[in-house]
Amino acid sequence: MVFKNLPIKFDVYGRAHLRDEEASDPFDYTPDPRIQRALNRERTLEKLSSNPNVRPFEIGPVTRTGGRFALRTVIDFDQRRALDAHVECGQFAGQSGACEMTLNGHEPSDAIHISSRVCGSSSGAHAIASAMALEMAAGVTPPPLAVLARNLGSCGEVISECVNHLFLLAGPDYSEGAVSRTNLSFWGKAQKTPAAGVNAHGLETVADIMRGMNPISGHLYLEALQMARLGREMATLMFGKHPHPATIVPGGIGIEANREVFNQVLGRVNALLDYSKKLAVIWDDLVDFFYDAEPRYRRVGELPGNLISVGLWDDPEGYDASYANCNEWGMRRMSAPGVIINGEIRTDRLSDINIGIEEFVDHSYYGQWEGGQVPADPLSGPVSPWHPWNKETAPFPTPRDWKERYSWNTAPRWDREAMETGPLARLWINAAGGAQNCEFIKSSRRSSQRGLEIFLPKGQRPATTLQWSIPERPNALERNRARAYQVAYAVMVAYADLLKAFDCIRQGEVTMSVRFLHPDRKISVGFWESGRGMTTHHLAIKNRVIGNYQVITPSEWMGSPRDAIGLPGIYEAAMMNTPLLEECARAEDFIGVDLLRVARSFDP
Amino acid sequence: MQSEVSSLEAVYLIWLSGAGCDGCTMAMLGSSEPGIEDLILGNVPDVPRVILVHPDLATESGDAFLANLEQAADGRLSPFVLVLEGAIADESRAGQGSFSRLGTSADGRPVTVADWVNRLAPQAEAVIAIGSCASWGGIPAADGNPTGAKGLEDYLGRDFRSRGGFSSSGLPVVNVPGCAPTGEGFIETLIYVFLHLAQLVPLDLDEERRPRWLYNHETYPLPPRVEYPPAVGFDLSNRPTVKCPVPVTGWLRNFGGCARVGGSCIGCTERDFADSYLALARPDPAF
Repeated sequence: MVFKNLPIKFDVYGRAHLRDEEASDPFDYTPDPRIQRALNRERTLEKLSSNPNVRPFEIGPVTRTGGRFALRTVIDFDQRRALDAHVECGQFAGQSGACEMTLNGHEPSDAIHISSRVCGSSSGAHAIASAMALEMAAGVTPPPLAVLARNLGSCGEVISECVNHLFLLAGPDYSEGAVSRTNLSFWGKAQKTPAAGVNAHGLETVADIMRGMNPISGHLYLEALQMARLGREMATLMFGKHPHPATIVPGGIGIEANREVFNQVLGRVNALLDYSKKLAVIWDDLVDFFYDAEPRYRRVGELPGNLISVGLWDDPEGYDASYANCNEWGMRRMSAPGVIINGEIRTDRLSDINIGIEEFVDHSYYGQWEGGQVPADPLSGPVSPWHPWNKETAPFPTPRDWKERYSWNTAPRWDREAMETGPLARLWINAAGGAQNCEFIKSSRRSSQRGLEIFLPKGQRPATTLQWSIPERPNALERNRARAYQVAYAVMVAYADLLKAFDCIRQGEVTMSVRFLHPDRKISVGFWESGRGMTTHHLAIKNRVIGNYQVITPSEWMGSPRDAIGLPGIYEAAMMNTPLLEECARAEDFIGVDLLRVARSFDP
Repeated sequence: MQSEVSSLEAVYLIWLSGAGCDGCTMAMLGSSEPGIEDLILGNVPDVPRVILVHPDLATESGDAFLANLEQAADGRLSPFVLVLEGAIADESRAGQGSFSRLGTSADGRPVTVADWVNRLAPQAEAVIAIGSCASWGGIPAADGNPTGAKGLEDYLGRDFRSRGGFSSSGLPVVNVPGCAPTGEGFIETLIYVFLHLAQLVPLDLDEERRPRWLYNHETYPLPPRVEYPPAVGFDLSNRPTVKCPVPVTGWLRNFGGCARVGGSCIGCTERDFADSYLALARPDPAF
């Protein structure tokens, strides 16, 4: 079954229909039994709050996240658990809402430049998603080398984001400086624990790794700054600049197909190839140490596993930009799309992912819109009045009220579930779905455990095969570990794409763009991902200009507030019931490091 | 944290993020020659060691992070240079809410980025606007955006002067526009401002308070060099000019760089680029 909560069923041809064609308001969510459960939960919480050791605990701003977040939890200091959590995004302009409002009435191709400004870190992903929405509307397919060039720039962006995340954003919470303050007993143990991966990274003990991760003074921190730059340089070579690409156009990419520029990318891929071999091992040693020192770290940031990915890195022979064929070209992506809910694969089709999306603003600083003009997608699949094609962006700033409105993020949901996106979701979906689109990456099964094998050829370091296994459940540490493996994954996608790019150039297939003409009226969607997760750009062209433009960012997927039903966002859900394992002698010394580790594991 | 440091040994760099996308921070991190870590480690001759207070890189969060800003506002963290990334929203348009929260007051009201700018700018030795949002308002000030966002100079007033510099008259806001500006250009400007504060060089800014040597090259908004002919009526002589270092320096390490490699120039270093320049950089779909 694809949808459990949305009123959509499928016929034998795989076409989507309303369950009840006669229903007057098929997408009405008010009968959902989870509404009552959410209310009951609130009441239970109020009762618990009479305990003097159950107290609110707020952190604002949460630094080292891109989203200007503040969080408010209710902590049971007896049980050392967060019972409740709310997350505010405190910034309007710069989030997707501001760019959506600016784009109304613009010439469609302007969307590439303005929508990339939604996020300075994931700007390449937004520019590409935007170009794809425009290509779908105009009915043009970029030439193969242009598709490869976009893939390569995107690989650079993903690598840069993941390396920054692992050492600049999330990493400092696992460094000597943090651990010796918040988990003091671990620090003594780390000094005595030999690092299993010493041959790969040269560090004798886990303490050496933690010391290397100290901000600015640690050698791993400084190395990460340089390695993330190599990723940014790859992106710059393909995009002209990064952040905010200058070369992405509908129908292709505006760079010249000369060998030199692709060779410059290759030089950086080679350096990152060697780095990625040790990166995964460093994080394996660190994560395994935390589990060993305190097994309850498996529970920190744990979620049942609602995973979503639209996939990325197109097959130049497969991508035709059309909605009609999006399920075929989607499945050929080198990181394939999919949705997994509670361990069950719900779909691997982009059209299902698209029609399953709704965006709620009941707890956001936005006003509600009425109805919508788009009843169905181009394949006649029904879409909800809360689907982005039907959404209107109307800011409605009010005082922050944790029970009412408290965030500039909207609450995107798929099949009315909060969804986790990002490297862990991508690796998981590819391992479960049988990755087969990149010659260097295979799905594997070791003692009933599914996973991925990433083959990394010889560089300065010998050839190696990294083995990643699907964890029991998503948690904060596994999200970080997955990022380290994602770097190796992206390096090998880049390598495979370079081989194809050099083939194209040898064969004289050096066209980089095709002409296009915007239609008078059309709806379309672009699907792409950044390091931190999926983004979709939903476009409606009216009278040859933009009538509606809607962007959903990974930060909105995960850093969202409650939705119409009362379900928490992914951040919020991951913090609730997280054990707080911080060691502090007095309650007033408590800084909430495990809550911060959870928040930063998503890198929104 | 140390609060008394000699102006020549170490300088605090307080970074505020207003209405923007954090892309300027990303560009700054991309600069490697030198990198921001070289300034923090004190590796650059004649340049004071930088103690960075940055929301995307700080080890502390919440009140512990905001304590740095409180101390700076109260004159207990000095000398410091203030960098603003992103525009300043007109919070009066947010009614009872806020557009850019950075903390909460004792009575539960939002403390906004504008509030912090009000408190910090008068105490700063120098004030630098990184990127077009902080310089001119940028994307958050484009048509359709309801926040009434402004650049720093508009917000503080063109007569605003920070404390530092050779003369007692102080320094205007130093603008480093671009969406984003090059990381290398920003780091270079930062070093230059530090050298000026140490009374080693004069501060040579142009009429828009940009570092003159970085923004003296003129280019034009241009469509991308793609497989179809350029836009109808494409004629450089009728185009507004764009002052930008990228055509000369590339995007980083002298490679990349917008129109230099075949991409478009959307005039992102100029005022109101989204409303006034972007249209001149469109690929021609009407062909």
